[in-house]
Amino acid sequence: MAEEMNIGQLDENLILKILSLVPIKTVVSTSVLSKEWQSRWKSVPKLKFNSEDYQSEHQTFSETVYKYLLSYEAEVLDSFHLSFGSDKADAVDVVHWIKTAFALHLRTLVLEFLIYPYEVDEFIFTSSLCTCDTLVTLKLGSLILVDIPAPGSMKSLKTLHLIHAFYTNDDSICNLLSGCPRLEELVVERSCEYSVKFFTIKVPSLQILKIYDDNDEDEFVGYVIDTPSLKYLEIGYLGCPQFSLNAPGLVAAYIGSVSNVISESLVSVRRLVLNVSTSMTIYPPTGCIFYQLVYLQIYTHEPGWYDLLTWMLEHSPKLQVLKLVGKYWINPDYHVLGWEWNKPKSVPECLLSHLETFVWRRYDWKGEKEEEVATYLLKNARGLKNATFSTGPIEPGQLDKLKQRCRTRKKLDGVLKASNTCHLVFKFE
Amino acid sequence: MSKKIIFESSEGESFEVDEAVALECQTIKNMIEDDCTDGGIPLANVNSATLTKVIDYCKKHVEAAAAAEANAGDKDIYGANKDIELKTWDEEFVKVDQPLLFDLMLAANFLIIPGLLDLTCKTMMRGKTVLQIREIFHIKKDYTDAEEAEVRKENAWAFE
Repeated sequence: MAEEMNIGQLDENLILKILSLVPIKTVVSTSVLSKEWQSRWKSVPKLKFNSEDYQSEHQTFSETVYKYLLSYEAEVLDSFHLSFGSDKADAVDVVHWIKTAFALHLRTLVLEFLIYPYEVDEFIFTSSLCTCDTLVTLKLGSLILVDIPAPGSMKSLKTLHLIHAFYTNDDSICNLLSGCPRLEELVVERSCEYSVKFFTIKVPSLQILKIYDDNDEDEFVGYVIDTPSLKYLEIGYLGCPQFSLNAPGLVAAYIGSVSNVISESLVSVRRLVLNVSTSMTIYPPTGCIFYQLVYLQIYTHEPGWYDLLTWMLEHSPKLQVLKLVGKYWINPDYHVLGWEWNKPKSVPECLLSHLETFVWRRYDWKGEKEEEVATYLLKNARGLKNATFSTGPIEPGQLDKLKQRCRTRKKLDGVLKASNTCHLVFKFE
Repeated sequence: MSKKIIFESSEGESFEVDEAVALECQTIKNMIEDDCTDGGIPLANVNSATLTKVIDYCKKHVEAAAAAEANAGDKDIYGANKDIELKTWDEEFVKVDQPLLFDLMLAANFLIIPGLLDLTCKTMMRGKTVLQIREIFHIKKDYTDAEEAEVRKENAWAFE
């Protein structure tokens, strides 16, 4: 191919792509390469400035950003990523830069406010910054205060990430979201905050929603979510007491560390992953059946997971794949003592007809009850085609672990299985 | 057995790959969809050494995607272990000499493999000084010393 690497043979777009992936300082320094390169840096469509690692004796951070934006020559600026601290960038300037970038038909804006210890400060993201109709992606980072008294207009916005941003009040959240009629993906991460009571997400176009929120302050009551087009919901943490969800078309959900979310509102899902605190699980009222559910995954981290399993088996008649996932680290001294597994009262419908695949990752070979659950499933799942038990590698010197594994393996092998075509696999991960 | 696709390098050497691997290349994907891959696909501007690497890359990413699919929903305490593993693999993958990296980039651009294109583009100038960039890419300096001094002065902060 290339006899010698002559960058001159590359097409301009490829050169600009290379330049858009290197630090801004390198980009500008290419001006010295040759006359052809003198102004090329002015068309690189992705700009990333970070005040923290900026050092210069010649000009300040602000001067550099201003100069760059004003000398920009291409018609469209694809991405503007700004990480700034109040020591090097004045809020007035930042607002000005953002507006300058908007005028260049900006598509992606990432703002990160850098925090200095002992310095309480914030950057205010106001209504005047919710005015860019070309913007497709907006990511706001920590300590940015969203203060939006009237609905904004971001007609093209599809992706919005609010990573530890703050909000002046409930209305700011509503006004921010109501200005985004095409929003498809929303990620919210929050921690301790006092000024919001309800976090309302009413977005008809939304398809993907991820919430990681450990705010458990009394002032915060909860989430009100009305998203008729939602396909995927992911909840990592939730510290608030209330959670209401209207998502009739939901296809898949991951629910972690939450007790009050397994409800009728999830009933339409086909795939469900539950990594919940089982001792506190509040089950939906009777009559709530997961008719669409074909894939279920439950983590067996905490005592009580088996009751959740029983409940889910009894309420998921079409289940085809069941996956259990054990602890990441098994403490050799850890044993859940004295738990009784309440088996389903009668063999659940999914075991009689639909369940084809059963996987147990990080299976605990020592657990007697684990064995009881596994035996029950093998004995009763009539259509089972594959059952897989996997564990991490056994280190040399862990002879008892190996013995235990052999013993349990033999037992599971010997179980009289309901399905005579079941393929049983034991493997190391 | 999955369907096989045959690539032919610029030296005329044949490489047989699974269709799934070939599908990583958008250009090939379009050809497969249009059903014009019978008798092999000649790649007159991709040599054997480059093609071998390109196929390695596509294979690895197909396998990683399959593994990710199988473990979809697994959120381990240490997050995306597999992602980190793949990133590390990628980093190692581009530790090649500059001419091969350049060829890989051109191949990724021609075959339209977005992940490989990003990876090679990102590595192309990373950590290099202007002098090194000029040398690697054979860029001829056409400034007079005075002109160069002027350019440096204009954007002095970038040369500190």
